[in-house]
Amino acid sequence: MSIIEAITVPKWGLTMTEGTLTEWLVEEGDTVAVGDVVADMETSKIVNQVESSVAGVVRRLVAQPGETMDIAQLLAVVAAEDTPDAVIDAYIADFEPEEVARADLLGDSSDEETDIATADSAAAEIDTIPAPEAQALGALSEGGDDSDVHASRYARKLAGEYNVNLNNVSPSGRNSRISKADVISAIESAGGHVTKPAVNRDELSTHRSNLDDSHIKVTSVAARLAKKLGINLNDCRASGNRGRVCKADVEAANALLNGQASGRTKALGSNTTSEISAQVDAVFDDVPMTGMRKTIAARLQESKREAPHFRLSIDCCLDQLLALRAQINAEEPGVKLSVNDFVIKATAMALSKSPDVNVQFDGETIRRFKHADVSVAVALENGLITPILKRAETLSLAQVSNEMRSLATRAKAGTLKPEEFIGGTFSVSNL
Amino acid sequence: MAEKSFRQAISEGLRAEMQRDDRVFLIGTDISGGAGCPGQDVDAAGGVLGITKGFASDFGVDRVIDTPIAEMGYMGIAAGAAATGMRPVAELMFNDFVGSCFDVLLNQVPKFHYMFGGKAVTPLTVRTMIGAGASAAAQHSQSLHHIFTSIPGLKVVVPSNAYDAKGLLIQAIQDDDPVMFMEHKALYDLPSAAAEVPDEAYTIPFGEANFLQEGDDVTIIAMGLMAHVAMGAAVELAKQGITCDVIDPRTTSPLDEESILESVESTGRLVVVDEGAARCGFAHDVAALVAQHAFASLKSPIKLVTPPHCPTPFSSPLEQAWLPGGEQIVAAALDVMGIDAAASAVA
Amino acid sequence: MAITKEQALNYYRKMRQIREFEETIHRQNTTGEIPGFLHLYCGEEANAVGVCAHLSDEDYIASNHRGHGHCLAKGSDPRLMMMELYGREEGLCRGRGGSMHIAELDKGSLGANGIVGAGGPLAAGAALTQKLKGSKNIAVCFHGDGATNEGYMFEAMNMAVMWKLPIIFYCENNGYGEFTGIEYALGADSIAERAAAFGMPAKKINGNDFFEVYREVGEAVEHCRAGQGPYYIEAEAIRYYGHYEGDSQLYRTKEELKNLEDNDCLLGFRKKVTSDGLLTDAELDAVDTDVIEAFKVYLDEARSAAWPATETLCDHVYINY
Repeated sequence: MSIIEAITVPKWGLTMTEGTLTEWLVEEGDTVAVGDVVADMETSKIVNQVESSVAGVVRRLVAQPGETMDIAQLLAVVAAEDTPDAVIDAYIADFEPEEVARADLLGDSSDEETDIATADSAAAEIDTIPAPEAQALGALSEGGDDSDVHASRYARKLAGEYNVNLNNVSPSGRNSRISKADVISAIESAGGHVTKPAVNRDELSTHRSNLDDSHIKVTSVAARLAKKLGINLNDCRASGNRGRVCKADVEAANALLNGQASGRTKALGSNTTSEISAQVDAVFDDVPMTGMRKTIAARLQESKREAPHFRLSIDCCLDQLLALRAQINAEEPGVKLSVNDFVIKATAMALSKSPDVNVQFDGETIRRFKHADVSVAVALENGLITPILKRAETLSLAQVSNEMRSLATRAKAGTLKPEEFIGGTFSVSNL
Repeated sequence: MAEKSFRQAISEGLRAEMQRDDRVFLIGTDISGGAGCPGQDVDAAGGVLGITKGFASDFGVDRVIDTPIAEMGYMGIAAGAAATGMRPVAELMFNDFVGSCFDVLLNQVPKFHYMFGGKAVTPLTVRTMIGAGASAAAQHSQSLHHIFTSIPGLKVVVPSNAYDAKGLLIQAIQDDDPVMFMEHKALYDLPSAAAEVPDEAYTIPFGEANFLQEGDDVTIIAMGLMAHVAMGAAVELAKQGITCDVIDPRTTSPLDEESILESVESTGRLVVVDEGAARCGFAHDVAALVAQHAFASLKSPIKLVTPPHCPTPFSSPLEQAWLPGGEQIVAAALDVMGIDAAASAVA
Repeated sequence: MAITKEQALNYYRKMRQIREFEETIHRQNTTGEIPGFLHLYCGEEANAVGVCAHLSDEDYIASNHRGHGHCLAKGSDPRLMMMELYGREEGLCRGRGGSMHIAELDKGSLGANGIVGAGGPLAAGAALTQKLKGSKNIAVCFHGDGATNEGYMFEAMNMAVMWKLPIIFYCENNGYGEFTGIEYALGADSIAERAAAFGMPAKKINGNDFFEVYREVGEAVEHCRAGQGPYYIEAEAIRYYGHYEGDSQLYRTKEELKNLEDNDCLLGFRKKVTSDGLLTDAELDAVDTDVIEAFKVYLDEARSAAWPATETLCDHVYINY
């Protein structure tokens, strides 16, 4: 039987979990070699090119442009020209993606990309699972049949996902039952990490009740206002007299759910109901978020939440810098330095001089970087991205300038490679 | 294994323990029936539901003790016997009658072990009927498990099906702590409460919830009769593409907090269904548990489905409106999913 | 029922212990050292000792909130009881129970009880256990005149008669249910008469006279051990102090309080045994001194004993949870 092979969604960088197929660059029937570009795919921040990992005839383009897929999902099928269609169909029907996350976590994969590091804070070049711990994780999967081990439903589920044999987990629960927390603790004490699903807080704040609210006690003014504003009384506190929803409660719910300052309702006071509905309808417009927007929001929220914030403001006199810039730009052909280039270079020099600032903190250890990899914010039409000037302290001003220009151009074209925007040690923004 | 009713399973559990341990005896009103009557003077009733029918003939009236209608007295006597080496199973016909013997179940039995510095053991099991749906009105329809759950020292069991009922009842009788075993009256002959029940004795440990169904979107907590109503709702929800973890806690004290939290951490949404109180009840206890320990996992506010803050009415339409129903559970689940119930019905 | 010299000394010592226990905490209570409610048994000692003289550790008693005397008479260690009243770890109930909840199941004590009347069914339950086991052991329900009006007692008495339970309902009628006189609170002519209506032998005795208590209870115990069902005794008794410590007792007259000593059970006992030539004043004085000295030690030990560790707060809620 002839060999049938799959082209699957590749994993680019540490945090990629899914990608959207933007365009096929081959057609069914084309012959491809290993390394040939077959498709464009957009991930959270970039458009990248999918290369074929196999050689043969593209028999089936399984994924459709616009489709968002998890990594390792089937994109296309490559096989010999004479393989019957029915066999291809069967291959597609039976296809199961490799479980990348599990293999990585347990350290039995040689793939150096692991899911253990969180977000883009971890530099790709640092392997956070030393070999002995990887072995410890592997050891967790060993042991006899664990189907009789007393474990909670979710503990068993999690153990299955992470290939943990429950015989290796100490129970802490009632009746010596293993809890999910016990499994997590076993994985973590063996050096692994269990990812927790993040909750999108936006869902919470905009959650609206659809339940019947006719039985809820409410003042008549508040009832009228709620009707005008389209507020379900289930979403209101009842802070009024005798547990009734009062006007202030409706205004507060409106502010929360519709993003309206409560004072705004006063301005609507004299309008007729229909006019108000029209106005209320026009007040907002739901814009679906792109993958990039979501990522930016999540990262900024995470940063705001996780890191203690403090600000330092310094006024600098740039007269000499501006003079030097004018001089160099006038004297050196082909060089056009921006003020930003100076800032980047100065930042890199400062980081070399004060290595204690060039650090990241993961909650347990402080990671001090040897080089100043300066992330520079670049504005895009739909958001922003931060390409990295690697080892910026070693670059001349001209190199900084040229490299930065190249990165910015590719950023705007969406063709940055993941390693070009993941893993900086310090950020500069003039946006 | 034969399929057995909830009623039969409880009867088997009692019989098994009566046979195994001669310290076990039954005490309550009319659990044999006929004493002092001109007709059949033993086993005339076997309890109002016939669950202990034949027990007096098989085990003797010394171990199947009919009492006068004196809940305070016989519950106290059962407590005294339990504290002095026996393992009584006292039947409080309807849990509503706790008003007539609450001191025993509030101030005496639950507190002996603690007050006496760990030296007293009071292995009393109280079997009692809960639940509405039979037009039994306000004094014979309540589900007061939340009251007992709030009393430290008591364990509280609310079984939903025949298999659980037998295993939990045997566990209750063998348990050294006092246990309230609360049987919903609608379950005795409910087809969906019947189950394959082994003839031999077995126990089900307390504090371990039963996953009636597994799903990804919503966690529904329900027990007793409500477990069946919730399962009906889960089927409806599945038709709309919403899958639910339906969890029957089986015991409210101890409570399997872990399973509830783990499930909510996975689904991010919680609906608690309870036939007990509309205020300060079991549903509120679970909601508080999740709000305290799994708030970060919640994707939407918790929804509770309970009767209104109103006594159980007599008239059927009113009583049906009073009881939490499948539609309310579906609506609550859609609500936590952020789906407009009206719109989805049209679609 | 003759009493030996040794028995007489023991009974006197027990009564003196109870008196000294109560007088000690009566004194110490004014210092604010002893937390919670205290209901003192002073004046009623002959009842507890006269009843428990007939009981073994296999017989049960249920007591009430005025229970120190019953517990001591049933054999609980005064030193550990003092520790318990001081709320210490070494206390009889590890400081979890306190004055109103002293119990010792191993000694057949179902415990003092903070709920008036609760001991009725509990003791009846203990009696039911004896009946089901076919043992000759019995149960005694100590209760006050206040409890006789509780439905708890009526239900227990009815079932005790129905099932011929080996139980003595022993009423210490000190004339007051809290601050209300029995003349007002009792509908029937007498407590014993009302009890008799339940269908059991009921007697009214003088609870200030140890020897009468001893004799009458002896007969009742025989009745119960013989399987003849329950027995009721109403003993007239004296309550020296208020319902609880701090009760100003405005409802009693000064004369009444002044004359209480005329019927004091300890003085009566001394008078009887010395005039009968069973014991001498010197022998009794020696007991007094001995007990008083012992209680000084108990008190010192209790005051300096360790408190329970707060980490143990939730010990003993359940046997297994």
